[in-house]
Amino acid sequence: MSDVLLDITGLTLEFDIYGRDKSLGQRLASLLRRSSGTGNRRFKALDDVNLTVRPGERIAIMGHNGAGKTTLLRVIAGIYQVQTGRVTLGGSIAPLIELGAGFNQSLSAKQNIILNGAMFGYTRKQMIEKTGDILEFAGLTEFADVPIKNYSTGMRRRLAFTIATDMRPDLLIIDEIFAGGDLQFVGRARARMMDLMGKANALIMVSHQLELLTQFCDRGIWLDHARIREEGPVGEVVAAYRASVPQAPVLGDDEEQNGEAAPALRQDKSIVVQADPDDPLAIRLAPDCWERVQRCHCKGRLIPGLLTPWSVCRRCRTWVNTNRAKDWVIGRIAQDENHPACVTPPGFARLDVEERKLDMHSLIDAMFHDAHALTPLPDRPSVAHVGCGAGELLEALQPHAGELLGTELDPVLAATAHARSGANVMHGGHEQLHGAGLDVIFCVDYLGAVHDPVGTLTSLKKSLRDAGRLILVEPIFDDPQAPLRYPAQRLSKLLYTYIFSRGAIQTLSHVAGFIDVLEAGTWNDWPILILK
Amino acid sequence: MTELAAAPQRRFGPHQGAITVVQEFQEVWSYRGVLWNIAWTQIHAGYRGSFLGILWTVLIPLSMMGIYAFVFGSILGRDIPNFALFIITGMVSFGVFQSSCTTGCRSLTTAEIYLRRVYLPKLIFPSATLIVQAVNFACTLAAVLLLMPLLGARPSIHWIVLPVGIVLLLLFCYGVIMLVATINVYIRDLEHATTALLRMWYFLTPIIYSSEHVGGKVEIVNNLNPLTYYLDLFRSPMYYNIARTDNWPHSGWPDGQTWLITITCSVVVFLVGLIVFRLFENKVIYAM
Repeated sequence: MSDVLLDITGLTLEFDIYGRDKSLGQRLASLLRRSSGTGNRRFKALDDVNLTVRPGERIAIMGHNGAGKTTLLRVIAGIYQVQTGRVTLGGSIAPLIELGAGFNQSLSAKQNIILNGAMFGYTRKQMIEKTGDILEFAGLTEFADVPIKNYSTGMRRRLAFTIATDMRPDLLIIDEIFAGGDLQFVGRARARMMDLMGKANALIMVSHQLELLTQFCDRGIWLDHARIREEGPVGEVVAAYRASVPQAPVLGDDEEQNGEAAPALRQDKSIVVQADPDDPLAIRLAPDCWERVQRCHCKGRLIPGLLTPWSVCRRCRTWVNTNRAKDWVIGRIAQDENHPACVTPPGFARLDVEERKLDMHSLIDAMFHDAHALTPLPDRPSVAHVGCGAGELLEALQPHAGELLGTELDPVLAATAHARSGANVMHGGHEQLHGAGLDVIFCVDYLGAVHDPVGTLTSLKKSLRDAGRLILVEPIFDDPQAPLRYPAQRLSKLLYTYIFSRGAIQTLSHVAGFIDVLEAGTWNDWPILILK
Repeated sequence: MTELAAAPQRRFGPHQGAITVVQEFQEVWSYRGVLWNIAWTQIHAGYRGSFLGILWTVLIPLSMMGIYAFVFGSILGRDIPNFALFIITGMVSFGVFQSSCTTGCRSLTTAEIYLRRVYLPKLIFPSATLIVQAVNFACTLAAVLLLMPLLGARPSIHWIVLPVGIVLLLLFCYGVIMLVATINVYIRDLEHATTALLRMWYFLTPIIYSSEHVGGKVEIVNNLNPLTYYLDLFRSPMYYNIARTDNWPHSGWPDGQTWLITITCSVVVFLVGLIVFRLFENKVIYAM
């Protein structure tokens, strides 16, 4: 392999922005436009871009929406052919630009792995050998034969990420890959990325999550209106880029004023976040996707789990999600903004992953300041946090907490979380919290990561004083593997007992069956926050 | 965390810039896994969930042939012996051209989902369309050959011409597919115009009648219509070899003129299609 993996010189790309005028009516309209002087404008998506990538380099690309980031990736991936300039690629490449690119929706995960492999240049035989590993890492072994059109967005994204990273390309291209996965997968994906990076693969990554860029990349490129505005060590470029962006809108600001949607806490305590219409990942959960199914696709009766949405079929023994599907299949997420079912019911909130940071703030606000809180908290409670998303959550917890503690299984994340929040973040599990005398423990995605969640839950309770409050975020996963990993029935019963006897546990979940139960309980006035 | 398994070296990947025709076909071949998949999906997609499945590929044309033979046989069949066989041999070859045109128009426009997202050699899409047409054609032809004893024909030595006829017709169709696929990206009206044009073309080709019997202006148009000669490639060995009337100039072997015209047409149309396709294949993405 040559010394230079990718060489881009003087790359300019223009689009005909009226290119879609196809019909007679549109042609006439554009004629009128032309006569009125607007003309058939051409739009420069990339303007004299120069870039050299050597093996092992990790490049972060940042910039505002429409700056040309994705277009640049597409040129590198060969989707757009070069018009002016030169692009030389000296190695293999795996582009992860669009969700499910190159997937055939009607094929199963297994078949799609082979198809994707063919697109990446691997033979059928090579791919069949990899299939098991890929499915296992993506957590989709149970669903290997389900057509992927029935997958949830997150599952599809997990599959795409796993395939692309399994290709061991010389150059991996990633466009906002971490945005769609659940917290648990993001953790694993990061570890896999680290593993890949250790092996001298080059990376080009586009993201709006600047922390992520700083963590993974060494060189930064700031694209601004189709041109490279700044290039250099990632820290400097991120700082320069950040300085140029006005501060994010504060919660509660007037939405119209900001133009961009900011989540606002409504009177009924539900939070509505506007999705970015350009971003397919900013999905909404609609109540109507939670129809309960009674039968498996094999017509077998289902043995329902008490609180989990996963039921097992009596006949074929497959796991079936009974809640999030209108069909027998895995989840249907309404993407249509205007769909009547997408209206937020009172007491429900829909939060988008894209806005996680703001979400966390609003979520925590609701948690701490709710009048119906079952256990009164001291003015400045001592708070601990266990599990993924430590950095963001700890930062969000800061204003509320007197004493702030955190634990994080991943040492890198622990260090990052400490740097960001200033809180004392310990590397390890919840055991670290024993005897800390806490008022609140936040527990995100944690029970799924440990082998004995029931025992963990009990021991977490012990870590709290009598007056303490345990807040579980996603204690039951929307994860096909989860019911196999731990005894969901037992966990459900235990939670039930806590909820009704002590009222000391608050739960956040996007698993509908779980919410059903909470709603049926005594917490009718409680805001139920659905975190997706 | 499981260690990533060492990956075998991949053989090819996206590239920028022009390549030769040979390289282009080599590239399509190296992406054959994707090619089969796209073709198979197209064959399958239409009949998904239906009980008879892929059998419909054969049943639909056969039923059409049956009804044409019945209706037009009563009207026009007096002058033409074994009219059912006459019409079937005509329809089977026109059918592949007809569906090549209609599906060819959509072969790039429906591939937008791939074109915008991943790198693939563009030639894959018309090639997949051709494969689908070839499979359908082979199925229909096989069914017709199986049914021929019912229509009074026996296997004959003349059938050895059929493979050559199939290759020439498919080469012609390949060119047409590449041509209409490219044009349709820029002028989407073509898709609708094709439907109307094919209907006219159908009647200007001696499928349900014989040029000699109709004569006059129709015969002149028939002689200018290249498809007439492609029809002869199939009709000679399958029909004219057994159905003889006194004043027909036909035998069981296609004549020299037929060979000359079909071979020239196939090569020219294929080359024109290929040249036009290669001129635009890197630009279509901007017109999607």
